[in-house]
Amino acid sequence: MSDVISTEKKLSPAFKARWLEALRSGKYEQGRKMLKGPQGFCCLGVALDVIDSGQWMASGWGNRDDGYELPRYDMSDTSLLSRELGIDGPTCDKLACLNDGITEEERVDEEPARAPLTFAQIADWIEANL
Amino acid sequence: MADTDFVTIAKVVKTQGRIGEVATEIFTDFPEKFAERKKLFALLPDDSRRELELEDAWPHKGQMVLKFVGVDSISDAELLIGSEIQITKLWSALSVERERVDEIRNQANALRKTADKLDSINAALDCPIVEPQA
Repeated sequence: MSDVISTEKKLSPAFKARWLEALRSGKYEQGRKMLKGPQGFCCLGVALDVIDSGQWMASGWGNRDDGYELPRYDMSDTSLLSRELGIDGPTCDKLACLNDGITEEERVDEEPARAPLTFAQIADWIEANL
Repeated sequence: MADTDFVTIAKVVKTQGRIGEVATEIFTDFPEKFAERKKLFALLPDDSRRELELEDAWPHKGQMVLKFVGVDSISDAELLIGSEIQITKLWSALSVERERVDEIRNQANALRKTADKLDSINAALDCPIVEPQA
């Protein structure tokens, strides 16, 4: 884990390379709304998986107002992304929106207004912008 | 209200999940009571206080994860890191009283069950209940 953690609070080139490789690998199924869920990973979930692969485990179920029950996973500590990797909150939110195909204003909507970006397209965005 | 009118029951330590949840260190012996406390306050690191409405709460690895209405993103949640989650002292006092009432009610129920058992035993033995002499 230590080889991918930057102490300078910015996205380290080593971690960035591993994250992009993971996103482009085809190894991860892409899901929406959750870091990791029954349908697959969000791009931020892939980042957490790259940090510490294999540590995901369901830790319980939560009832939400919309009636859905969503599994919650132990590796859902998103502060790792900013604290250890230097990916700040607004950037995380931007990536989550790209992953889900929504704008920040549409964040709470159920259905995406446009086609979500694929992991490969998100990797291109990260490569160009982070 | 003055600062002394509030009681801190948790402290936000980090963001959790993707939709604005925060993980908190708990300072109360009754974390399950979070579900009953819809109106909470956050004492922010700059000493300002923000009223929050609790949407959901669940235990997670020794901490309590809280989701507040209107805190819907990781960046929203980041603003709460370091905050003390508080309730008013009045609510705290009412909760204590309610716990006492619940305890007394439980004891009364236990006594009632014991009395019912004694009645059944007496009936089975077919002997009259002897009232204690004054």
